[in-house]
Amino acid sequence: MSRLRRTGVALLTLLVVAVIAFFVVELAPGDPASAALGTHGTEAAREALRDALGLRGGIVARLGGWLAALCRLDLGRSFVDGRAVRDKILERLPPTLALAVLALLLAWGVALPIALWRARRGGADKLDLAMSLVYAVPVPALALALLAAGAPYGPSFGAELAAAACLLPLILPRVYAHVAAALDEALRGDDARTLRAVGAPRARVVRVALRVQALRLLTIVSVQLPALLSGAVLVEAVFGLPGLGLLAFDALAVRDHPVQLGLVVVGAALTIACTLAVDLAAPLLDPRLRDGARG
Amino acid sequence: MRRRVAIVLLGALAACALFADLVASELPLYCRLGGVTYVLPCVTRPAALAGEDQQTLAARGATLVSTPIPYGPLAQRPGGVLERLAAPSARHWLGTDDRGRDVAARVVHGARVACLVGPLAVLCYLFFGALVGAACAASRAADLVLARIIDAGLTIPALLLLLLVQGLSGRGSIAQVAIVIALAEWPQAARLVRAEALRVAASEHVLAARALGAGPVRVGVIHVLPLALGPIRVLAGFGLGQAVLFESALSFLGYGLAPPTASWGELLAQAAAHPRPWLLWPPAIAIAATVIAARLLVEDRAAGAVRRRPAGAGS
Repeated sequence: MSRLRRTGVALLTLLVVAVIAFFVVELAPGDPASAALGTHGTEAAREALRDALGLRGGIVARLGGWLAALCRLDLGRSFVDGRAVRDKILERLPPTLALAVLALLLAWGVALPIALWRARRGGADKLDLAMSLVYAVPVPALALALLAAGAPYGPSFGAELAAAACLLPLILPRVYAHVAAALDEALRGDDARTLRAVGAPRARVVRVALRVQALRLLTIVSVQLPALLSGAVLVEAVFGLPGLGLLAFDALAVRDHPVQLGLVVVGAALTIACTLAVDLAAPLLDPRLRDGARG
Repeated sequence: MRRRVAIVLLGALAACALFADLVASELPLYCRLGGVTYVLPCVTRPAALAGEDQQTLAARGATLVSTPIPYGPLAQRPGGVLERLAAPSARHWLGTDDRGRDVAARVVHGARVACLVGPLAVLCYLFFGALVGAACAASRAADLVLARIIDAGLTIPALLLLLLVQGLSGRGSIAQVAIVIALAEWPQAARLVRAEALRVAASEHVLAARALGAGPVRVGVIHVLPLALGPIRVLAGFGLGQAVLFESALSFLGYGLAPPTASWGELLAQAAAHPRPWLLWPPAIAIAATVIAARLLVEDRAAGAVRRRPAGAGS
């Protein structure tokens, strides 16, 4: 697929996400105005809020308005302080991105040595099973246990690291399964056999194997992002990290539904952007994918 | 062997859920008070015993056969005594929570939520997934649209979507939580069923059916779907665990079931507010055991799926 086409598909996916998000809000029982005002709001206040939110008019007009605003990168305004949702989300992005990167690095740091040991042994079913069961660890419980064991609270590197460790159950099983399978395949391939035949040291064989599979290992990063963002809500609330997850948690508490809706769209957009970036970078990383190359 | 462990664990969980009132209740299994005999008042809840519990009944000199855990999940002052955040003791095996309720009783009754939300969510999720997957295989036009929707659905962080819906509609019933979880999770099922369905749709018996004039609905439902349900068993085990984890996460954030329903996630939320080990470990172990059991039940097929799946991971 050409780059243009990939970009087009990514934008189309984003459009579908926006439409899905719109209909979820539309079809969910209860409407944003009464949810925001709770039981205290008068009918007049609700009507005024509906006007302000653009909840009037036909469904098609509202869908059009929502998509048009999205095209201008406008996610609406917060109920609580009237600030643009886009700005609120942007300022909370860095801690969550740091958290995601740390969690992925940790997952790789754990999965790679284990996968290498497994490859040396020629497979280990019990180990595979154990790694696949890591996802059963409930993330909030792990976070609370780490906090009780003395992990720091509040924005600091220590808290980010502890929070990233708590996200491991969400991503480690998949990362491990991919790394183990990729290593298996690469070490059984022709290039690895040739290298071994000419007497290359084992470390070199593994290095080449990892390089051959590098792209495939990179693509799984974007697959993990939704799970990481979901987990961020849980761990950021526990560790008091001012990221997107805490924003979602706080927005929920005060019924700030434009922020919540914005977070759903931005979360999906991050994943889509990450997938697209990997797709577009693929030819740079893998000469086999460059234009004009065979096979 | 592993399957047996899984079946025993899930059986224990189901028994806990089904017989929760016989295991932990304010009222005893058998009681004779003032010449009147009550059999299983913990289930029948006779009006004459309203407001009583096993402690006050014993104090009034009733003859009773008490339940293994002589406290109800909602009883804040058993026997008229309020014990907030009491450490585990002979009286309260797993201590009490911040309202004086017995933690062991709440863990046992929390199994009900897991046993209802999990299977209900899995049913919805497999139904959506199978339907969409089959539709993709049946018609190319449908596939073009639905594949995009599945892709888009896979990019949405599930918990953010769940919180959006729960924030709009408020804390609700077990059915609502289950449907909301299925809503966030169905693209996973649809993706796997679609891949399998497209493989089946390329086979010769489907071509033969088409040649005989079968329409897309008939092809999808009769010729493709039954053969494409292979991954369903694995998905069911995996989805059951996911649903239990999601329910506990929602309850942990305070947006699961309406209080005072006992749920494992709600205990974890209390552990966040009051860092006591007896509020943290019992629900954590219950959740992990349930998820592991659900996964081990489908283990043999799942292990194969893990080995096969990465081949198409890049797409």
